[in-house]
Amino acid sequence: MSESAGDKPSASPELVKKKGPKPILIAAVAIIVVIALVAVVVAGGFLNTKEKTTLEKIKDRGYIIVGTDVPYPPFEFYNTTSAKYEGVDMEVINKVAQYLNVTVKVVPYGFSELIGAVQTGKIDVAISSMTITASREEAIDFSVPYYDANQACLVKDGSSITSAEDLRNIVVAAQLGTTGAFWVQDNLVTKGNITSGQAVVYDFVDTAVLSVQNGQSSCCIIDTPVANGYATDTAYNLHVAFTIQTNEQYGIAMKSGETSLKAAVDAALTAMKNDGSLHAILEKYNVL
Amino acid sequence: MNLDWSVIGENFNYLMAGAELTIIISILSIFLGFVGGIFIGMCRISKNPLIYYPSTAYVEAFRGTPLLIQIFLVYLGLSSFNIQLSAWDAGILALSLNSAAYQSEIFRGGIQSIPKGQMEAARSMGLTYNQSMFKVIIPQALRNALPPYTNEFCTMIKDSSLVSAISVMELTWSAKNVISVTFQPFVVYIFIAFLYFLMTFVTTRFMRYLEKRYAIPGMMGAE
Repeated sequence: MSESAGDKPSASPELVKKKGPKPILIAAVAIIVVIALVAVVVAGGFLNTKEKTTLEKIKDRGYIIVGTDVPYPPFEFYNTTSAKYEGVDMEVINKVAQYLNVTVKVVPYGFSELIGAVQTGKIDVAISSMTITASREEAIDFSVPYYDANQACLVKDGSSITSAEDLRNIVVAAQLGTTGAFWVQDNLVTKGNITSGQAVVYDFVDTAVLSVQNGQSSCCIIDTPVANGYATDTAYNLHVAFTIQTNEQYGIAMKSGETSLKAAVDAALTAMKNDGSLHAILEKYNVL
Repeated sequence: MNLDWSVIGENFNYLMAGAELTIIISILSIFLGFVGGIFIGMCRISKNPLIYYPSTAYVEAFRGTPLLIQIFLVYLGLSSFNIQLSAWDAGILALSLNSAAYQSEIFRGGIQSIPKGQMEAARSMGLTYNQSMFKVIIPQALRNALPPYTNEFCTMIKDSSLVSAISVMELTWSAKNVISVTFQPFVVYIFIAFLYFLMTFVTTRFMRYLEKRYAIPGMMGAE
């Protein structure tokens, strides 16, 4: 049985020499296949121009598709006991949905993918503690702001860091695509206080916070309410070393040009501000 | 959705720096995985149960769990035992450990593809077991195993993108970072997909050359 392969040392060399297709040919075919796929996707995008507005689609299907990045306590997190997405943002969007007379379907995304998901219509809106910035507004639209935040420096208990001056030549963590990561880039890396290798950016905020807890990073720059949440959580030995006055405002993100949806969301948020229900939500999660 | 291809030009050097790290990570972990794979593969054909069972358990553990979980375990999990690895070290270690498990199976397959008669013939000519192994069996085993090695090398190049999750600044991480500022996911991902394709294509062509160059005349690898 096993000898059969070894017993034929005299297989004729003429039969062996069979030339395969040229490498360039294979590369060309592979590239053509990729380009064809791209063309299909792009063409599909152009053909779909005559569509209903997002608001009409939401009303038709009876629910609004909401993208969010979990965990980001206390603004959004998945409660494994109740098997529900909870937090400030979840209560806000549920209330907004009530005004629109629809229900909510939450889809989790990485924070840096949210804007792309809004642009491509994968989700109707994104509510994820997202600060309204000029560069984001070039890509998407924001609702009226519903929360004011700043940046905080979260450190391990016993850390010697007490001010922004101490952030020199140490590893600083942040979350990808967040205003915290932009602050680190603009105020620490470009000024030469830390190298680009010392600015470590994670996909998810819990990994960034764990790297501080483990000692792999010296501190983490994140939004004030989230930093306070981690600081008060006894499961971690963390505290807020200092806060940075960045005067940020959170908004609900939606596709550019969806004026009817923006008007409806803005009206709902304004009504919530006026009747005190937004205040009640913020009070409930202790983020006032 | 408007596609702005100029973001590639604006961030070209940044993305290329990421591509460079991806190449370095891939070469390092493929090499470490190769060395580890030969070692574990040898253990796997051992008749000593104290060597055979631990190496088998290693292969099953790394083949049976997701690479992403292994990366998180090495990076975040090990610090529970006060082992602090940087993201870079942890990433390469996890990729190498994982690749060693797969490459050990490729190596073992290569050895078992050599007919038993060859070992018997080598021994009857007066070579010791080790001599027959290193001078007769393994050289042929490696040549026979080149096609599956090609597969594993391509897999490693692509899987190196997973270490972006622990902030290693390789190609996928750079792309995600560019997207987080430019909001052009389609353009950037297509571009880096093309870069990954270039890397794997060069690899498969090079391995194909090695296969032809080192084909064993008369054996199945020589087709």
